[in-house]
Amino acid sequence: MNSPDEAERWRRQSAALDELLDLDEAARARRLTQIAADDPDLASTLTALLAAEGGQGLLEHGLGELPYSALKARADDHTRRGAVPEQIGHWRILERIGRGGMGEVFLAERCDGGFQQRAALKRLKRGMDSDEILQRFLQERQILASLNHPNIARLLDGGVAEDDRPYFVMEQVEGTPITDWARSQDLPLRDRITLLRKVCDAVAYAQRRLVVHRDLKPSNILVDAQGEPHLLDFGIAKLLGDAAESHETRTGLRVLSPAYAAPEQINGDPISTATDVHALGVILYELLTGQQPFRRARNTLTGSIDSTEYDSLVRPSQLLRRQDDPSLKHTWGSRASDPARLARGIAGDLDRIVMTALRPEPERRYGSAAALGADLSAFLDGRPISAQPDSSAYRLRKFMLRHRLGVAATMLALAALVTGFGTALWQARVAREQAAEANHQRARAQAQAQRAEKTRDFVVSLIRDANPVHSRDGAQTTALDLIRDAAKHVDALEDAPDTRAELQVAIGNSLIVLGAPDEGRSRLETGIAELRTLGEDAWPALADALNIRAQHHTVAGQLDQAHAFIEEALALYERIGPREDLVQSRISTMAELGRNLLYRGDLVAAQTLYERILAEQQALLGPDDPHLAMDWNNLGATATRRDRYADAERAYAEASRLMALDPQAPESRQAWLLLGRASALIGLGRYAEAEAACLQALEIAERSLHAEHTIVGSIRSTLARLYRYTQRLDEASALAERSQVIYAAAKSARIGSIEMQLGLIRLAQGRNADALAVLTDAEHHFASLSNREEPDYFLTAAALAMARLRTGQDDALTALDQSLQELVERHPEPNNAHAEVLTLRAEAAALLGHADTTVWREREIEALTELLGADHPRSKAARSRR
Amino acid sequence: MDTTLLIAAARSGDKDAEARLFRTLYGDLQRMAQHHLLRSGSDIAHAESLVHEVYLRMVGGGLGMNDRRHFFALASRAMRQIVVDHVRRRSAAKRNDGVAEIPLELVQESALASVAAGQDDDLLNLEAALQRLERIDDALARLVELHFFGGLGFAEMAEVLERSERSLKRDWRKAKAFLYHDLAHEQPG
Repeated sequence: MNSPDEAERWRRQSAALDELLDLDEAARARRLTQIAADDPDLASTLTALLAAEGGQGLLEHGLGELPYSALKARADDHTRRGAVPEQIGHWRILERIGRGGMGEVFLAERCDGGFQQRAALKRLKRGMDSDEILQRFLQERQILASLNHPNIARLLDGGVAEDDRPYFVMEQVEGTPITDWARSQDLPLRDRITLLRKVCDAVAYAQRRLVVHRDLKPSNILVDAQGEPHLLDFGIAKLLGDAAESHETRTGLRVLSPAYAAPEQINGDPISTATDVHALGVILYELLTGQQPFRRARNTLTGSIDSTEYDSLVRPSQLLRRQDDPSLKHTWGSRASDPARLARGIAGDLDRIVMTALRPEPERRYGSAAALGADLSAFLDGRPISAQPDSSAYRLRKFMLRHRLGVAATMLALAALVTGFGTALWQARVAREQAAEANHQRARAQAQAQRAEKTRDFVVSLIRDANPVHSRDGAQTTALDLIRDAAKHVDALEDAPDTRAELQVAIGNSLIVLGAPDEGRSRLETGIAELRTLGEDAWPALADALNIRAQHHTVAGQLDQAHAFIEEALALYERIGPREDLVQSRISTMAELGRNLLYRGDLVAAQTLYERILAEQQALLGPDDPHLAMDWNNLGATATRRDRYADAERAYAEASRLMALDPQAPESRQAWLLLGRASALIGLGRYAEAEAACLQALEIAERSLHAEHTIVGSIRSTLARLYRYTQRLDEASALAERSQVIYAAAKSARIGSIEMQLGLIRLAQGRNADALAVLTDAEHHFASLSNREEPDYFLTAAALAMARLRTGQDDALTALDQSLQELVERHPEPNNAHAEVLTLRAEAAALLGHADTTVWREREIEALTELLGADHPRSKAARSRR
Repeated sequence: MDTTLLIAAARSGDKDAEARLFRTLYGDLQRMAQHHLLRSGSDIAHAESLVHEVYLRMVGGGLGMNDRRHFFALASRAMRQIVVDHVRRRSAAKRNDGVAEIPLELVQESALASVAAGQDDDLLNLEAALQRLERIDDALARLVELHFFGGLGFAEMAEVLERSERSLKRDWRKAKAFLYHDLAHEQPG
């Protein structure tokens, strides 16, 4: 691994160290400067080496009792396994080198003169010495003797020992299990694939002679110092088509390793060449990710395996993206430094090869090791591989089995399913559409029935189509492929312009949600343009499409554009007049308007609207319908923003109650409700409950969604705020930083609020320069995203002024005062931002040594008391600052 | 075969003798470890170097300098193998926790020793670094083997290797510099 250059470099470094180590610090520095003049690289390495020499670590701590426990473990092992026999057959036993399910393995050498030969002697264990096993063993001996391949360990001898135990002797291989080898050599991806292809070739050679290995696993594939793999233990290999199949399979089970066994082995179904393919798939998965694909209990072999295990299997590339540094490092060594690149190399063809080899149904895997090997070769040569992903049709068929709804709703639901996208508001909309779909199926007009038929035809064409799409990486792309595939079919629907336009909208929406915004927006716009040309009949679909478009503008922070589309949609509903089948769509548009108002900071209007929606929904669905959970949630969110914490807590409690009534509700939604509740509880000063709610929300969100979801960022930010109030600043800081990363990665329009929180924490920490930087960003984000009416915007501006004051810009006090004044003008009611700004103002006065400090302190206390009550911890804290 | 003769044969290049010496060493080291654990319980951190003890037991000191050097080198190497293998198996047991093939005893032991988990990783990283050192400076790697794995003190090493303590200490510091530097660059975190 190391070039001679490296040895030479070390010799030079070593010689210099001899000299430097004896010098005192000053002399050392002088000498290093001299060396640097000549060879700056050498000097900098020497500096690093000298620094390392001063370090503390294992070398200082010593091994402790490790040698004792290691030796004791060995000794215990020895005792447990019993004595090593002197001799078996013509073989002298040197030492025991292993013990497997079938018996023990010894290192042995031939003792009947002739040539010196070392070998591995495998002796079957007691209790296995039935005639049947002996028969099988003798059979195995014959098969093995017929195998002559450089990568298969040869059978040398065999027989029955004095104690009637059968044994056989195999070529001894000095090597490392394939997965350990790949790890220890830091083997790059291509070399790993090349290595496994060699293994496939050897297995294919045996399979051509009708020998199936049946027990392939890393410990049976050793790699020698030259990097050559050797297959050991064709231990349960047997001729295909043997009459005693089922009986022997059961016997064979006891020696299998659950993690590598194919479902047919566990379920007692026929074994074929595809059985080895499955094991090779498991090993490939392990080579790529360091993890076994299926985590099975030890006793799995007595149970049975169905396809759910495969359905929940994570693709190798996806798994790599999810792994933390130590796991990556463990598997890939120095190559772990660029996990994204690794995952890219694996995504696509290799993912597909692995997933094909691991399919639970033998007939859907590669038929033989040769076929798998051929695809690995194709991958290495950059040729197209033969494995096809589950076709979009296949996946859709599976999906349709679960969701018998209209196509548009199906696609939206699919998008929601795979992305966990956006807010609970949005999910509620999908849920409502589904409910509405079911409700007005009966009431549909003739034209709509026809449209439904068209739709059905379209779905059928998708399902019939076996044309596969090449999926790239991860579930998202899989869904994206599905949608893109669907888009092609939509383009062909020339004779049904209304269906086509509507599906364009649905597809456009899905594309945006799935991370192809440009493509999606263009589809959406095309769909809307087409709908506009279709006249009155298309108004409901158009209104719906406009609402969808508004939602995407809202998410992108373009509140004005969103507002225009919402107004247009609501005007359409007005012109259509009351229609039972459109009630839900209209309400959904109103809810979107509510969100728009909320984000603008028009809190009173938002609340009025949400109250109206709730009243309508209650009249329509009754007070206990789970769908109302979202309306209560929206009211809770508005109340929190208005700092009406008791109202907010009541609303969230009602939302939780209703959500619990719906057994179908995904668990992830609880995270939103818990987060809302936590915010309300912080306002109420019930910090312990708030912390518990946050932590529970975080646990649910990270488990049921993923760690980078914006809701996770929101939860962390809320917890950060709580910790800021309770002076746990280090924790607050870490949480807010993480939250900022998540929001930045999601390009969320709401990042300003997160940065504001971080900025306030920085101020509390006294990290003034950092505060200045992050608050500058925050103000910029608020300003550029037209949510300059929000109370938090003014708090951000005030905090920024504070940071400027602290960094020596005395004139920033004017800016602080201006923020305060504007805030009071726009939001005269008591609110949290106001109280926080007053806190900052009092601090500013104190900082500048102004005489009116106490006046500001009193105003701060007054505001907090009015907002939160005199007993709130923040009110008390303010009084203690007096 | 007499241990003394075995050592001499091993030193002269007899691979078979070396293998047998190795096995004998293993056995003796094992017995001694058990003895220590029985006798002194948790107080073993201050026990005399196991390697040194096994030397006294096996050959009683009547060995020429070259043979002694060879013996200590071999015993320290054995200790390194034993410890590294043990830790490897222990962490493998942990990784697979409960999945197939790992003897149950080992799993339980690893659960008990989970406190030492960090140390296990450190040791395996150190082993990797030591292997890299071996490739470019074998003598320095041998020194680490003797001192760290064999537990030989500087005075003892000076006697056996016929070198000054001072130069040995400097070499030890160099080895440390290489290993810690290598660990910091090859194994961040």
